[in-house]
Amino acid sequence: MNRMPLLIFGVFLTFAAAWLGLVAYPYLTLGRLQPVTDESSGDVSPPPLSGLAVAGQKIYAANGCVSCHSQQVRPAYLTSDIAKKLGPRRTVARDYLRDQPAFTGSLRIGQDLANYGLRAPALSDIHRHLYDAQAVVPGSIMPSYRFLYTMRKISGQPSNEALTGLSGPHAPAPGFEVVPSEDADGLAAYLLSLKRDYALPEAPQEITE
Amino acid sequence: MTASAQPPIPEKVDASLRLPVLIFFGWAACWLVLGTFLCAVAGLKLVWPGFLDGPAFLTYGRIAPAAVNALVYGWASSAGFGIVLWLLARLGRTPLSYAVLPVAAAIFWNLGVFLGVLAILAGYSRSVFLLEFPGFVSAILFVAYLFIAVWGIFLFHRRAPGSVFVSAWYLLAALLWFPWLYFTGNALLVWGHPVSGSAQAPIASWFASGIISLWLAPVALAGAFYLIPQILGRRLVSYNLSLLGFWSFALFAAWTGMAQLIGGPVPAWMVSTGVVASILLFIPVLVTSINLLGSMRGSFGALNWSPSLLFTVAGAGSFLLVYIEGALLALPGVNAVFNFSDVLLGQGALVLFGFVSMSFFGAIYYIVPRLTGQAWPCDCLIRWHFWLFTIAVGVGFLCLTFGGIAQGFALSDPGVEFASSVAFATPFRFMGALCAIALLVGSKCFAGLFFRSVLSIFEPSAKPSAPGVIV
Amino acid sequence: MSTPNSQQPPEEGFRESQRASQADVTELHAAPEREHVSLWLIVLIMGLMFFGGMFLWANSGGFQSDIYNTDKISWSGAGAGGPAAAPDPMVVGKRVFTQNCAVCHQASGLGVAGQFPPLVGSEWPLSVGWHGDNHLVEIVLNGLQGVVTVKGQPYNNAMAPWGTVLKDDQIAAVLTYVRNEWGNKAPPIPKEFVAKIREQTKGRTDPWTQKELQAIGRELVGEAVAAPAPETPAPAPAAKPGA
Repeated sequence: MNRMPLLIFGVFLTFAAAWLGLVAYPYLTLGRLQPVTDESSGDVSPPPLSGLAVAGQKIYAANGCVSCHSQQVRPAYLTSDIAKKLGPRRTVARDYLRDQPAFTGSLRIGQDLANYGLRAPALSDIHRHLYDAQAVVPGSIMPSYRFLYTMRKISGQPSNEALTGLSGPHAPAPGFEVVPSEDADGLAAYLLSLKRDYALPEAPQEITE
Repeated sequence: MTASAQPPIPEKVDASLRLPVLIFFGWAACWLVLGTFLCAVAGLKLVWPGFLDGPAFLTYGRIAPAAVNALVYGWASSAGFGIVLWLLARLGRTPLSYAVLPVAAAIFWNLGVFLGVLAILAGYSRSVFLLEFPGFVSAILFVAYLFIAVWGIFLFHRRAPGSVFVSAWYLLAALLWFPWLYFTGNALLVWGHPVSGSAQAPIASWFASGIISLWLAPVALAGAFYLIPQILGRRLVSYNLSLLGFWSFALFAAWTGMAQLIGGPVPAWMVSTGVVASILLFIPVLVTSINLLGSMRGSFGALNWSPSLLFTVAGAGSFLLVYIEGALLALPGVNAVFNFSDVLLGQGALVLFGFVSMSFFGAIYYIVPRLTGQAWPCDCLIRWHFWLFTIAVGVGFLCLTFGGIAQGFALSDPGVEFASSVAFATPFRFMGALCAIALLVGSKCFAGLFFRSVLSIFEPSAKPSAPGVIV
Repeated sequence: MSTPNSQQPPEEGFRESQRASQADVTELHAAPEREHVSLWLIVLIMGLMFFGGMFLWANSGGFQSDIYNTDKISWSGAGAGGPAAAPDPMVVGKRVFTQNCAVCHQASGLGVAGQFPPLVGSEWPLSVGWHGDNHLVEIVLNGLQGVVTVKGQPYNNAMAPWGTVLKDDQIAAVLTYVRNEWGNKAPPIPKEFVAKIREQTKGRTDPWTQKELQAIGRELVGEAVAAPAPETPAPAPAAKPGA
C-alpha cells in the first residue's frame, strides 16, 4: 500500500464512520432532546435546577467528584443497580439534560449518586459528611472537604448555619464554629437535587413503590 | 548502512532531528516523573484519605485527573511526537527542515500541558475524562499540534521513493486521527457552548477511548513494527498480516468506547456496536501480535543485549493483554459485574504504563544514542528501570484486577453494603500505591539516564563510553 | 548482513550500541513478498465477524435513539419499553378542581347555600335517579344555566363551560375526583367517555338547562343509552330568587 491518497482515504473513511455514528448521531438525536412536560400535572422532567444547585454543579466539577462517584443507574435485566436501591429506574440520556458536563462517571470508588437526593439525609448531615466523612462513617475513604468551610471564632451567638455535632480531629475547638461557604451550600443543594425518579417516555419505572 | 558509496543519510537525518526530538523527549521525561509522582500521591490517598488532605489543590479529585493528564498529554504525547518525527524522517530518509518550528511547537505544547495541570489543581477542571484542561489550554495544544502534524505529514510526503513501511501507515493514521478527535472533543464538550448534557456520555467515551486507541496505540505500534525487524535484521512475519492488522484496527478501534457504557444512558444500538467492536478488535490484536512477537522467533536471546528490544517486546506483550482484557470486559455479563470497579483502574494502568510507556521507552532507548552519538552511560540503571516498571506494572495490574473483582462482586450483590466493596478493595489499592511508588523510582532512573546522556553532548571531552558503532 | 543470532563474546550488559545497525527496515521490506495467511486465521476471523453481526442484529433495539434496553427488539417503530405510568386521576383531578371549580363549589365540595350547589352527596355527580354520567360530562363541557334542583334545593345561577379550557383527560380526572371525594363513591369516568360525549355534543354552544338534560337519555359509562326520563313536575318548594 504505497500510495498516500489511498492510505489517507482509508484512514479518513474508517474514522468518519465512527465519527458519524458516535458523535454526529448523538449530537443530532440525543443532543436535541428537550424536557418533557406532563400535561396533567404540569411537571417538567427533568426539573430545572435552582441557581444554588447550578453553582454547586460547578463545585462538583472543579473538585473532580466524578473521579470516584458515578451517576448511572443500569437496567434491572442487566445488573442489580435497581435492586440495590440506586434508583427506581435506569438513567437515560434525557436525565443529564440539565448537567454541564454530564457526570456519568466511570468508577464507583464512592457510591453512585444518580439518585442521592432521594435517599439524602438532612442538610446538616450532608454538610457534616462533606466536612469530614471519616468522622461520620468509619472506614470511609472520602476525603475531607473542609476547605469548603470556614472555621471561625464564635462572636456572640453561634451562627445559625454553623455545623453541629462535629467530631473527630477536625472538630472545632470550644469557642470556634464551622460555617459552610457559598461553595459548600451550592454543593449540598446540587447533591439534594440529584433525583431521577420522574417517568420519561423512554424510561418506564422499573419498580413500583 | 555500511555500504561505502552511499552518503550517510541516517546521520544527516538524525542531525536535523536532534533538537526537536530531544526537546520532546526531555519534556516527556519530566512529565513522566511528575505524573508518576502525582499517581503515587493519588494512590496513597485512596488508602489513607487523610494523607495530604487539607488544601483544595491537594484533594484526590484534583490530583487524580492532574496525574492522568500529565501522563497522557505530557509524557505520552510528547514522547509520541518525538517518535513520530524521528520515525517518519528515518523511514522516508528525509531530513527535517525548518526544525525551529517543531521546536517552538514542542515548547508551546508542553507549556500548555503545564498550564493545564496547574489549572486542574486550581479547580478549573472541566471534569470530562481526558478533557479536563480548560478551553484556552486545549486551544494552545491544538495549535501546537498542527505544527507538529504538518511537519510530520511533510516528512512523509517527501519520502524517498520505495515501498511504504507498516510503521508509516500507523504514524500517518495517528497524525490524521488525533486532530480530528481532539478538535471534535473540545468543540463539543469544552469550548464555547458545549453540547447538551444528554449527548455528552457517548461523545466523551468515544473521545477517551480514541485518545488511547487512535493516537497513542498507533504510535506505539509503529515503534514496535520498526524496532523489532530493525534490531533483529529480519523481515516481519507477513506483509499480509500487517495489512490486515492495520485496516481491521482502523475499522474497529474507534467504536470500542461504547463498551464502557453498557447499561448506560446511550441507545441500545450504540452499546451493542461497542461490544461487537471490542470483541472484533481481537482480530487485529491477534494478527499484529503474531506479526510482532512471531518476528522474534528464535531470537529471544537478543533481549539480553538490546534494551530497546526488551522494552518494545514488553510493550507488545502488554498490548495483547490489554485488548484481550478489553474484549472480555465488553461482554455484557462480565461488564455488568466489573464495570465501575478497580478492574478498570488496572486496565488503565496496563494500557498507559505497560503498553504505551514500555513501547515508547523502547523507541527512546533506540533513538537517543543515535541523536547524541553517545551510548547510554549506565547499563545498570537501564535494568533498574526495566525491572521496576515491569514488576510495578505486573503486580499493580494483578492487584488492582483482583481487588476489582472482589469489589465488583460486592458492588453487584444486593445483600452487600457499599462499605464492604471499599473494604475489599483497600488492601489491593495499597499494593497498587506501592507499585506507583516503584514506577516513580523507575521514572527517575529513566529521566536521570536521559539527561545524563543529553548533557554528555556538551562535555568537551566527548568520549564514547565504549568502542562502539552507533548507526 | 550479519545474522541476528551471531554470538557476541559473553560480555555483561547491553551492547546494542556496539552493533552496527542491521539492514535497514525499508530495504528489508522492499521486495513485496506476499506470504500466505493461514487458513485457521481466516476461519477464526470469519466466525468472529459472523457472531458479531448476529449479536448486533439481536441487541440493537431497531437502531432507534429512544430504545435503551438491549433486550427489547423493536423494529416496528414503537417506543421503548411499556407505556409510562399513568398519573393518578385523584391527584390530577384534585389539582384541576382546586384551580377551577373550588372557587364556586368550595374546596369542601359543599358549595355556598343559595348560590352554588354542593357536590357532596349530590345526585348530579353521583348519577342517581335521572342523572347520568353523560349529563355530568355535558355540564362540564358546555355549562349549566337556569333553575336547577340539587338535593331538594333550588339554585338559579350559571356555570361556565369548561370544554374549551380543559382537555378530556383533565375532565375525566376532575369528575373522578368529585365522585370519590368527601365520602362520595361512584365509578370513575374514563377519558374515552368524555371524548365520546364531546363528539356527540359537538355543535352545542349554549349552556344546558335542567329540562334539556332531562330530555337526553341517561347514559352510564359502559352502558347503552337509556330511555329519556319522563317529565317531572317542578320541585314543590318555591324557587328562591336566584342570587
